Amino acid sequence: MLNQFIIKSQKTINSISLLKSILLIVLLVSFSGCDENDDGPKGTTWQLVWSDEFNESGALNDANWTYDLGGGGWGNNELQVYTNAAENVISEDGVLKIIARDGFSSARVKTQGLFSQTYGRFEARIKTPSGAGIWPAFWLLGDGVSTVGWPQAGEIDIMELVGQRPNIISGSVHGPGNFAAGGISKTYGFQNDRFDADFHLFAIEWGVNYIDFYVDDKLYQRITPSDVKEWVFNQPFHIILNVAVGGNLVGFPNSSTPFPQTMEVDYVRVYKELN
Amino acid sequence: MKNIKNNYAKTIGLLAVVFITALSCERDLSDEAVPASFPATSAIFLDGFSGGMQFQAFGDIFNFQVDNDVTYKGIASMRFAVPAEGETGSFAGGNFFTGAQNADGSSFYAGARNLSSYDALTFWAKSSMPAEINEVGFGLNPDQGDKFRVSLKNVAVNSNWKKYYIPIPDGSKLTAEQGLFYYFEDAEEGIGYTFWIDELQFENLGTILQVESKIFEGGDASAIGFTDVGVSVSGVSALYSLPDGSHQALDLTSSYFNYKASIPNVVSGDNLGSLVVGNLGTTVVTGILDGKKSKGSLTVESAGDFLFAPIPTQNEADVISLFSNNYTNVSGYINNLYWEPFQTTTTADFSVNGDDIINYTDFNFVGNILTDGLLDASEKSTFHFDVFIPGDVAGAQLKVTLRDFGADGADGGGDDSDISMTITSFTSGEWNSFDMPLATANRNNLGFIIWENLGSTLTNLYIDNIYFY
Repeated sequence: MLNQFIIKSQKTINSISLLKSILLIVLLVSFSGCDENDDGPKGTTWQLVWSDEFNESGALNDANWTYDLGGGGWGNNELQVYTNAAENVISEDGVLKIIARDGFSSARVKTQGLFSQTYGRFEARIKTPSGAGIWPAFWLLGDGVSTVGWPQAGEIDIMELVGQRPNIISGSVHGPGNFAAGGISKTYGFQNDRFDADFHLFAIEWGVNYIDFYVDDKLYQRITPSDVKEWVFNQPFHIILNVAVGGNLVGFPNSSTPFPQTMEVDYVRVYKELN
Repeated sequence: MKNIKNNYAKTIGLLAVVFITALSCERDLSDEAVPASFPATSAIFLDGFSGGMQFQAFGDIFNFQVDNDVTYKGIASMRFAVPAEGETGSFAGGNFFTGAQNADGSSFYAGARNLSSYDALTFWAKSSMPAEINEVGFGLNPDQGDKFRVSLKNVAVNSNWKKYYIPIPDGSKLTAEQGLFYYFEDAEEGIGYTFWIDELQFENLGTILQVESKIFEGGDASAIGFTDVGVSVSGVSALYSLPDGSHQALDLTSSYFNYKASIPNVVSGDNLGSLVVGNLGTTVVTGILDGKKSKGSLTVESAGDFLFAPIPTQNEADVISLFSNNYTNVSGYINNLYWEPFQTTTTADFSVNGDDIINYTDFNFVGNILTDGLLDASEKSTFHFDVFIPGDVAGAQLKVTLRDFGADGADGGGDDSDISMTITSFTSGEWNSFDMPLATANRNNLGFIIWENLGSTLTNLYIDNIYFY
């Protein structure tokens, strides 16, 4: 029945000049990524293989999701303690809500051990939270993290947002030699809109030798093996959604940070290339 | 810092006016020159004032100057000198507006700006010492009832330049705005200081997000209404997320909201904060701010024709009347003294077929002056008033106090005495008449009437026929 969900990448951007006019801030770490975007979307036809539409109310479907729990900073000096309590993570009103509360508690859900895939299109329609020190993310982590560890396992950040800049997101990859600040990253922003004002579609299209980053089906970054020290993006990755509070990337919440802060996820869908 | 809620209309009415002629743009106005639509000029002050601006200081304190030494950008900023406590004026305040000048140098409101394409008034500010500016905002035009006034309260400033944002709740309503910026500040812990404002302009940012808005403080209020009588909207507020994700509370007027009644012919409105009751029935009124539904509602039960207070039966010759259309009233009665900063009570007085009614809304307490000077009621034995509560009467508690100033004729001084009555029972949907005995009390130097809500549900009430007999 999944075959009915077939989409095709939209050929929305054909010119880098148009792309530049849309992007608010362009931070190219890659030296070659800009030119390669001239190729535009690859026009792949995708077939849906996995999704969660969050139409059930209550706890998440445990066939799809499991939880990272606890605190300790998560390697980034983050402040929050992750729980699986309903006050931090719940499916209601047709969306997944990950709620960061003052104090600081939040949630991090993942498909590790339940679903992972090599290549394909991974997308989520998300309305982000905002505020100083708030750090929502939709990302993929290599299944090898439990054996070879990070960064060897690889990480693909489809959407990260620094809460004090609610009009800008970034897409990144991390791997051997490209970890922490050395990750390959690019930002995408709005001049006159914000990612916490409404839902936006964040996606990657990932093939053997490329990862394309999209916002609302607009391609803004392509990362290829030549951009990174070592291409480890050829193995199964699982999905993670979380809202961190504080940390190395985002800084720390202050008196101006409103709580609670909620990331709303309308759906998460994963496709494979239709042969 | 004293948190002063400024009664601007009164202040402006009472205080002298200072005009900066050098800053105004000279322009002859005539009927023929009145534009069909007003300019959408964004700038108020960048390196000087944009054309057509006038400045009116609150009081005769010239606290504002253009500064060419301290600037955020360019060659000039606006400098405001806040006097120390006890110095002349003890505060700094003023209003910048579109206007023109008469031949004698006096100014008047004229022209306007079309602000419908903007979503914020922004500026950069710094100060000579850490402080909180009591209030900054725009939309101050007493002649138009400050209909679209918005403001930030207690704005923290320090020695670093910082950008500030005053969100525009719904620009589409601001097609002819005259009050473009105002400020009010007094000394910090008694100490005077200086603050600067630069790059004052309207902007269309697109990155300011309305988080929520409220009417009736976000609760579900109820009221009884009468045909052709207005219903007041109170407890309005809005919260915005600024471009850095921080939250900013905004004081705004009910005129910014649109209103929707579940049964439109029971309550109708002009979407400028004025609601009028129509046919019999019950309807739920909700608010919408810039397309987003507000928290809170008002259930209005229309009782049809207005229920008038009972006609007094005392002979006119035996009465000292303060407020009644049935008697000749003493001169000088004032029904709201705006005791700030803690008073929330506002007046929404109205008249039905020539009968004037006092209406207190957001009622916590309010003071009245009985007459010019003091009132001698020593020949009278009773104080009378009629009260109608246009809402739920359960839990309502009203305390009424007559304060005699004593021989010194002044509030305080150790010889004041009070006569009080606390009412804890009201009949719903009817006027409640009360007679307060005065027999043994001092009542020859009466200075105040004080109406108090004793922490109860009583936030909206009508009063009529206040007299002694």
